[in-house]
Amino acid sequence: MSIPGQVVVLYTSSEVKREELWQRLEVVMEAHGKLLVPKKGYPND
Amino acid sequence: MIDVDGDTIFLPEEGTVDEWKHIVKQAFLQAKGEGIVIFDPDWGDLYGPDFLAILLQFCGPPWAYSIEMSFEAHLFWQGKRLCDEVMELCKDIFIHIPCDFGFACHKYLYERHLRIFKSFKKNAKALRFVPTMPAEDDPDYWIVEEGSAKGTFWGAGSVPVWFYLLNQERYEASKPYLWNLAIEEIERFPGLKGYGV
Repeated sequence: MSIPGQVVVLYTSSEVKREELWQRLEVVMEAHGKLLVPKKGYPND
Repeated sequence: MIDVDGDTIFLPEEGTVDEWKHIVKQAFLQAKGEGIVIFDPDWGDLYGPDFLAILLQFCGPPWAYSIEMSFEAHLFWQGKRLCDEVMELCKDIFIHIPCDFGFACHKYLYERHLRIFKSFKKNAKALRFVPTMPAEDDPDYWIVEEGSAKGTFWGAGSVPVWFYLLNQERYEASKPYLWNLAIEEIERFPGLKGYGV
């Protein structure tokens, strides 16, 4: 049985600046319990 | 110190989460190439051999950034549904990032997806008038009917899910509704998992 991978892609236009994009993305991700850092080597692992 | 090999960031062995977050953020802010890729991002319950890529100038104007999140088969083996958790996340991202917005979800349909995307890119001004496009309304975005593909239909490379383009006006108009919008997975065909909003 073959199970597909799923890719979600969000495209944003240039109205949002790079730092603002990161800050907002980080806030949203963390609100969902997701960090913008690699999992491997996570200090508490 | 930011240790970067190509588009891969290596974090130091020692460090706090805040220090690592700072490193990754700086790598993104200073990136001059295509962007950054975070392999094995900390997705909590969605953890798997995935990646998060934030690409710069993807396809050129009018798009500035592409945020790609890949969820491998592990999501399914864990009994998770993409729509249930990821779409809630994407909805929040959409609400909090004020700009023209494109959205796509596909199952490794990169070439097909790119081709369609580029056709819209050629007429950027028309984006202001592009309506929301459910996949089934687009002749190039068709869902393989069960049994029509040779072998497994997953391997047919023709299983798009959806593609939306939202301009600033649509974004502003959508925000009040999105907060309370319920998104759920629906099944279109027996044996074929389709997703809808």
